[in-house]
Amino acid sequence: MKKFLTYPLLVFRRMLKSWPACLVMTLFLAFAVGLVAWQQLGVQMSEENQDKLRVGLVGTFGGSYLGFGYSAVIHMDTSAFTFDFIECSEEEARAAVENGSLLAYVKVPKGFITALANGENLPVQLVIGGTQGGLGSQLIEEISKMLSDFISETEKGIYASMDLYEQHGQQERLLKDGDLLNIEYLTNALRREELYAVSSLSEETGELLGYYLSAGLVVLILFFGMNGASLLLKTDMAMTRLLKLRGLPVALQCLGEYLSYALLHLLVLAGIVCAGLLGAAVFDAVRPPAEGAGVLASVLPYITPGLCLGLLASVLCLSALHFLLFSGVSRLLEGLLLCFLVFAALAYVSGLFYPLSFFPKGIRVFASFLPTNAAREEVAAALSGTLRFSESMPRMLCLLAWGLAFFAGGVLLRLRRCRVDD
Amino acid sequence: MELRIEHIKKKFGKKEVLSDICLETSAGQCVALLGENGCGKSTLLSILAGTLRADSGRILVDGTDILKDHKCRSKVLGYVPQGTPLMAELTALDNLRLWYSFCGRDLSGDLENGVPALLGVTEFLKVPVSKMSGGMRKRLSISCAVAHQPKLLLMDEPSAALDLPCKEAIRDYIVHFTTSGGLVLLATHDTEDLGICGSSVILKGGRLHAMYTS
Repeated sequence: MKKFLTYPLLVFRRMLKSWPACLVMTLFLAFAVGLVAWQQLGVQMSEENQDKLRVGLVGTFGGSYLGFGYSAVIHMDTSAFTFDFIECSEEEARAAVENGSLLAYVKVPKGFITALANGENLPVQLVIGGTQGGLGSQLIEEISKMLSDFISETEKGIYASMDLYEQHGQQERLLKDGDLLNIEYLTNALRREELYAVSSLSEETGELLGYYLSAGLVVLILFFGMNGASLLLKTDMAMTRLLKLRGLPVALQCLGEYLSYALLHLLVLAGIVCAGLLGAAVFDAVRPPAEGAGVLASVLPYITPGLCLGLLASVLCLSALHFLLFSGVSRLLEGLLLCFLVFAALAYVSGLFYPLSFFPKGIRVFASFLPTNAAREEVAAALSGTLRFSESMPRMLCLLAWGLAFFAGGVLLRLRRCRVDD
Repeated sequence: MELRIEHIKKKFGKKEVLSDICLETSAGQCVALLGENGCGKSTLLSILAGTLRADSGRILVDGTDILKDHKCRSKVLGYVPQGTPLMAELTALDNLRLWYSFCGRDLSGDLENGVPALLGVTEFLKVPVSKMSGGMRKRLSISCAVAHQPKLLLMDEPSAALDLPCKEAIRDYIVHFTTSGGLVLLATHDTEDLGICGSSVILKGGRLHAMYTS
C-alpha cells in the first residue's frame, strides 16, 4: 500500500514546487482574459447605451405637414428607435456616409407633398454605405419604410380631412383640428409597439455580463493547461518503465499524476479567488463605499457551495483533458501548440468567445454535448442563483463522463508509449 | 547465483541488433560488455532489465527464466541506465524514499551505513536533482537502483562523462558489490573499468565475438 501512496505524494510535492509559477502565469492569463472581455463588453455596452445610429435626412422638412411628421418622429421617443436624424444636403449626406460619420441617409424626394396631393406616393429613398449590411442597415430600412408610410398616411389623412372640412364650410377650424388629427393618428393609428418586435439577446443568453463571466472562468480553467506542459509532459518513458518494473502499474502512476495535477489546479484557482477577495478588501479599505455594500460584500454572496461544486467538477474534467493532451506528446513545443489549438477550438465551438445563440442550430446541438459548454452553464447557473438539481445533474454527469473518457485516453496513450517494444 | 543468457535475438524493423547472444556467468564477478557504439550493449542490458522485449531466447537466473517471471526479475535485478531517471524537482532524499517504498526497507539505516552512505549520497540529501552535478546524479541513481538489494546489477556506462574521483567511487562500489557475492554486467567504453572486471565480452554486429577472463 505504501508504494502506491508514496508515488502520488511525491509527484504532488514535485508539482507543488511549481505552484508559485503556475499562480503567476494563471493570474497573468486571467488579467489578459479580463482585459479583453472588459474591452469587448465595455465597447459593446457603451455603444448600446450611449451611441445612436446617425441617419441623414435629405429633403425639405420645413413644410407644416412634413415638418410636423418629422418633428414627431424626432421628439416622440428617440431612445426607442436609437436614431439620430441629421438634416443635411444630399452632397453632405453622401460624403458623410462615405466617411462613416453617417450610417445612411433618407431622401424625401422633391415634390413629395405635391405628388401626395395628387394621389401619388413617391417612395422615400434610403441610401446606405456600400459595405454595410446587417442589423443596422435593416433597421434603417425599416425606419425609412416607417417614415415613408407615416408621412404618406399622415398626409392622406390630412388631405382627406381638408376636403371634408371644405365640404362642410369649416375651413377656419381646419388648422386647429388638423393638429389634433395628427396627434390622434400618432397615438391611435400608428402604434409604435406594432412596428417592431424587439427582442434582446439577454432573453436567450441571460445577462450578457453574467454569460461572459461564466465563460471567462471556464476559459481560465481550460487555458491553465498551458502550465501542464512542465508538469505533465514526459520527454521519455524511462522512469515510467522502471517504476512499472518495480511493481507500480502505469495506470496507477497516471492516476497519481492526474490527481496531483488536479489538486494543484484547484489550489491555483483558490489562490486566484483569495487574491481577488483580498484585492476587494483592500480596495474597500482604501476607498470605503459612500453608501451601500463595498466590493467585498457584493462579491461574497456569489461564492456559494453550488459555484464551488461547479468549479470543482469543471477543474476535474478539464484537468483530465490536459492530462490526455500531454500524454500523447514528448516535446514541449508540440504539447503547447496542440493544447492551444484544442483549447481555442473547444472554447469557440462551446460559445465561450461568442454567445452560443449566434451559432447555427447544428453547432448549438453539438456544443450541448461538450464538457466546456456544460461547465459554463453550470457556473452561470451558480452565479445567477438559478441552480436546480434537475438541471445540474445532467451537466455534472456530462463532466464526469468526459473526465473519465479523457483520463482513460491519457492512460492508453501512456501505455502505448511505454510499450516494451519501442 | 548463476546467470545464463540463451539465444537472445532482437530486431528493430529489418535491422538485427542482437543475433543469438549466449553468455554464462556466476556470482562474485564483474563482466565488462565492450563494443563500438550501436553494437547492441544497451539493447542487451535493456532486455535483461525488462525495459525491452526480446524476440526470442531465455534468460535464466538460478534456473528461473526472468523473461517470464517478472516478479523474480524485479526482486533479483537492479538496473542503472545510461540516463538518470530521477524526479528533477525533488531532493535526493525524496528520490530515495520513492525507490525504498517499493521494497519496504528502512532508508534511515542505509543512510547511516548502506549504499547511499558508501557512495557519499548522504552529503547532498537535501539538494534537488536539478541542482546536482552529473556525478552526484549518477551516484544517486545507483543508490536508487540497489535499494532492494539485488543480486544482479546491470550498469550502462555508469562512469561516462564523470570526473576521476567520482569514477573511483563508483568502481569502489562495484568491487564492494561483487565482493559481497553480487554479479555486475557493466557496459563501458572506459578501459580503466577493465581493471575491476574479472571477464570481458565483445559485442560486434549483434554477436558475441570473444570472451576474455582476467
